[in-house]
Amino acid sequence: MHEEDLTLALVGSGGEGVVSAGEILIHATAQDGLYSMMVKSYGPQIRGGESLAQIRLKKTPVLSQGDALDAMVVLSWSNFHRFAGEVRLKERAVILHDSEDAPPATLKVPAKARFVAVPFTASAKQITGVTQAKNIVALGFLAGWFDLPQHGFAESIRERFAKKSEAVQQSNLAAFQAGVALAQAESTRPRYDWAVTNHEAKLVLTGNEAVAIGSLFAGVKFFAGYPITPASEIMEWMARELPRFDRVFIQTEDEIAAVTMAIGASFAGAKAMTATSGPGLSLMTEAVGLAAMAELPLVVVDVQRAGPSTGIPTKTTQADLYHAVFGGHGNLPRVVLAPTDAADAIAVAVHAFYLAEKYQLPVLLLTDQFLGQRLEVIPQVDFAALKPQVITRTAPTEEDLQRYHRFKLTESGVSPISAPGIKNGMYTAAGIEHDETGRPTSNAELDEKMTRKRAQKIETIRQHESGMLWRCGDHDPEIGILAWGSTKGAVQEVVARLQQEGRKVAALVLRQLSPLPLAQLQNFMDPLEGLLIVEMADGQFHSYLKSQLTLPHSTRVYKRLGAALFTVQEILDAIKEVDALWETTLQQTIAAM
Amino acid sequence: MGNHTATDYRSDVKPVWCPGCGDFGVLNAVYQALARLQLPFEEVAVVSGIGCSSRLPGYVKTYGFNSIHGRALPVAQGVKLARPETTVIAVAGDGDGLSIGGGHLPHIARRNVDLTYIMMDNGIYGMTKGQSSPTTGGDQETKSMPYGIIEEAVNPIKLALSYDATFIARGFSANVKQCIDLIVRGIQHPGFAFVQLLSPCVTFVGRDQFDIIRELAVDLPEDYDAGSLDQAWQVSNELGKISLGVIYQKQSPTYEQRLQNLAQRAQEGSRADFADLLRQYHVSEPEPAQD
Repeated sequence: MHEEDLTLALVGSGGEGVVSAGEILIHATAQDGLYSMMVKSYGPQIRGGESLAQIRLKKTPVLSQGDALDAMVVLSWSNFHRFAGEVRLKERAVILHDSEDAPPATLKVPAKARFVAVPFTASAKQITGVTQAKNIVALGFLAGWFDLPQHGFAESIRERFAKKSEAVQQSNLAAFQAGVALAQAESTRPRYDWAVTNHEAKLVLTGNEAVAIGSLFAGVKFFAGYPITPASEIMEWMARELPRFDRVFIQTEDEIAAVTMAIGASFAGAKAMTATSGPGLSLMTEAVGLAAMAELPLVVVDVQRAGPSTGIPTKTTQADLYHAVFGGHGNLPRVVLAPTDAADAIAVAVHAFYLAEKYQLPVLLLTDQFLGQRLEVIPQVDFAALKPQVITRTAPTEEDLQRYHRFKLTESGVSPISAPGIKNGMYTAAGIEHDETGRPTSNAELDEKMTRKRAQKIETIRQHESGMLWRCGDHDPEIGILAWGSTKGAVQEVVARLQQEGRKVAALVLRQLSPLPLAQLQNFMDPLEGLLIVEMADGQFHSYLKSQLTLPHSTRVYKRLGAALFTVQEILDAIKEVDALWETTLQQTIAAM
Repeated sequence: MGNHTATDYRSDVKPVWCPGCGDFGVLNAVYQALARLQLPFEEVAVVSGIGCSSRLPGYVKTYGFNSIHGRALPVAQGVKLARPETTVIAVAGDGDGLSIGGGHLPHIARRNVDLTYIMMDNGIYGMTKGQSSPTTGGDQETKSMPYGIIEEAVNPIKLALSYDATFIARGFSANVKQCIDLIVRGIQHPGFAFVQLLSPCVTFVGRDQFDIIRELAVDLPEDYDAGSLDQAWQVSNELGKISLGVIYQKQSPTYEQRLQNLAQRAQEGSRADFADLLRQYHVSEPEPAQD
């Protein structure tokens, strides 16, 4: 079967419906069995201004956003220069633009790229009476040009305009059909075959929605939050859904109130969480220490965005790693998890609550703007398989309650936890150091014991939990790739490409950053002749690994800062550098013999 | 109903407060208020931030939470909203509650969460040994204002009134009987109850703080109407005297009641289920999810 793999972008000014058109395309083609992923790019102002939607379409699950574009639809050139740096065209890319809006003379495109002028605006006006529907005409043109299955479009367009009148729905359907007809009149267009035989159940959702769905499945009973891009969608989701399930949502006055309310709710026995982004996590960090000290379960989601300070709220990064893993004062035991894609975000959210409740500590869930806000079509998630991880904390036994010691020293570090309503389980939770009963103390010996007890939970997790590793590639690789979180998709494609070239290669992607699964990591690295570490930050992941493990001699780090997403090609290029490094090392060894 | 005496509500932790501290009076009043209401130990949570006053939860044999500086109110709201059947009492000092935690007061007031907030006001930072607090008044010299205060003192009653709190009272920790009454009425009030208890710091302000307050304190007159906002504003603006009692009270739906109404609207008669929720995200031959 020929692999149909299409990467498209729609570009326009705010309000031109670029993202709406993308969403329609994704929902429509998913109904015909196709997989896709859409990333959005827009200016730092969040509302208005320029916007770009990039969509990759395949018959099999889409792993990354795709590199260079097969086609670009430009609804207006006015703000295009702001995206020029993010847009890369394939050699034979097609650039579709409005007949009334000629490309700027300064535009640089590959020599064999082709411009097609289409009367988007004129058609929209002719059919609907207004120019707004030009995005729908463009959508029709794309569907016609690339032979996309069309049965899903009618329903998706109707759904999109469900709140408008029947006439509006009809005229948009007509605008779509006009676009299709315009494309089909072009005899020189390429031919694609998107017919799918395997119609499996699918979900269409963003990473933020996935985190929310996973949390609800895990039984979250209390969500407190404060708006911040790109995490707000989690909060808005909770605001809409939690009341329908008799659970509590509250929008607080600030991030500190959000996290401390969640801690209060957890003290009262509820599974509690909050979600934020970088600057918000900074504000919450003192309270994360409180949860660790009072040994209360807590889930904090950090949807990373470019920083420090306000940074770029609409761009992605992996640079909150240090803050998540090391942030806070004192010895602060915490777990840090990082989902790799939308499907995984459901599973990792469930796991976050599992660890929080079981070990009575804060769990940070690190996602990022790329994962949080991209829209994905994914295979149906096996919720039955996740069910065993939906647990509630173990209440103290009758025996425990006879002489209740909330912070009893145990081998695992976990003690029987009580909550208001439980008779004879009264105790005072505190951020101040305390003895086994909760009584405040400044005794150095006792402080050391209690600090060890809390730290022991981390060791218990390291020894007894899965480590949340994701691996792909050969069993006996010569070259390895180590990455974490949302870079997994690009890394997975890199491995597939290298395997096609006959290389023995494997990738390990960490979904649990703290505690690091040291034994499994060392196992993975031992046989390697070369290692590439991939991260979208200035070496935080690399130095973190170095601080806890011995890395192979031929290790290179591919780190890149900045707003653009990783492409498969740039990681492949970095692999060549690992090869060169290994070659040099080999020659030096031979020369020294 | 149980048969608990005030002593039954004492934990076995000994207070660390200085001898003669006003906070002993407040603690005593809390014990007696809980006994008067015969509240089961396990149905009460006393939540605090940081400071001398905030050690109080440890001294009460109920559930307690001694959290972090300035955050008594959000932690307390989390407890209450997650488990509404709990009687929640938040305690804070003037520094904890009006300085670092001052931003939480307007918001709990506008939510009208059903809990009682006791502000133990001594006009000084006691735990950090005598720096100025937002309620330090007059021309006092403090560790952080060695040449005398150059800021105006915050008026907590005025603040609570302007934030539209539904129950506002003031007491004096030397008058334990009145404090008990104010705490009991605060707990019984459906909604947010703000109770300022003047609680002198004998170490960093001095024993004469008791005498000064005693000299200025008067009970609100018999015919005082706590339902009148006008009278409440007058009391809050008084100079040369400190009126004690319930200064303002009104009825308004609690946040918990509003949450319940909201849930009813959201559910339109039936509670949602997970499989239904998931269907929103399904495409192509959706299969029912297993919950």
